Amino acid sequence: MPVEESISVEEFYETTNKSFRGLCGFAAREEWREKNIYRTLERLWSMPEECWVEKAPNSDAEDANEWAGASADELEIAFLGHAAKWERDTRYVSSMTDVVSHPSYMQIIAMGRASRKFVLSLLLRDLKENERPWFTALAQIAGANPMSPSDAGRVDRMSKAWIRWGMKEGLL
Amino acid sequence: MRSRFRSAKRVREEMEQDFPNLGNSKWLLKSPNTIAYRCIAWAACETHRNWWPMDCDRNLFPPEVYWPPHLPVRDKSVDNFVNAFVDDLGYVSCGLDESFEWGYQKVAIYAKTVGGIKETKHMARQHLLGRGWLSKLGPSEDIVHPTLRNLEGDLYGSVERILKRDWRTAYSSGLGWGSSFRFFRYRLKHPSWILSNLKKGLLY
Repeated sequence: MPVEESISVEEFYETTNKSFRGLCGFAAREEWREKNIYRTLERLWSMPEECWVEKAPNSDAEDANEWAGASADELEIAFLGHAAKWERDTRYVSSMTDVVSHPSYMQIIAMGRASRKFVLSLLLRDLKENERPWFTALAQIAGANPMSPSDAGRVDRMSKAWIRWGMKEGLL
Repeated sequence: MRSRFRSAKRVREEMEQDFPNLGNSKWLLKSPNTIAYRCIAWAACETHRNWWPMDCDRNLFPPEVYWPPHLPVRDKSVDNFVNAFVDDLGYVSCGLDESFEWGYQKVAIYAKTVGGIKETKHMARQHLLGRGWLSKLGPSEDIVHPTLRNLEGDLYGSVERILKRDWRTAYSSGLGWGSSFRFFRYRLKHPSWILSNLKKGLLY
């Protein structure tokens, strides 16, 4: 079952694999990566096609259990797959409510609840390197809000505040 | 975002696939993509922050988006967006009149029915001299398209309301001079993207 009709298996695999090579330096085992990327793809493709379902914060505690036993490498692969799908599906979306209620985004929050420190580190690195706006996920996982209310909507200031927070917490 | 410097040719192909009504019209790209602002901010002449009515618990969740503080933050209805532009920016409703009127600046609100409720999905701003409509497509590139019909479809629904304000009101509300300056500064930061696409006639 394809993620979207306009994206082929090869294209999705290549995107995920490329991001993987760029982001993580510690898991370079080719065979392991091949196997896990396909496992992640299977998991993503089993998600419902119609994905604009809003969830209230903290309503996905059951999803966190799903990730409870996952290894760091497995979490990282899954994160990259979900992040790529989320970015692609929301590329024309202005509704921030829709952006942060996308199932892939909710899955990343669930992963963060299962492995807080590791997923926070992944999100902060991705925010720093790829400039993807993970602010709501960061706040929900970290239970912190390092930003000033006067910075509402200002991506550059919000990014700086979170990166400073990450360095202070030893996550970057 | 990572793919900030996508070639204009590729962007055009993708957008024409996702917005079929763009295909047969003369539309142009304005600038590379950025997450610094999205369509509502762009309609409000701002390029430094995102606008959206999103619920934020100030103690825990971040103020990820800006919304006028006196308006409801969970209401995605067209009326909430109309109120934001009427109260804060001096617009008045003009039904669905999308024609260019000398001395007036117009914005259009697109909405789509989701679960039986009309939700705002997009906003476009008329070029000050009537040379089409300016739209920022989410975090993607911003474009100039000749008519409002160009973006109607599954993604943004259809145009529900058009608002206008005269240039004097626009001027007194700031007219976005600061934003315009930041916008041009932003474009100047990426001269190779601008120049290569200008040469190909793909940019506004």
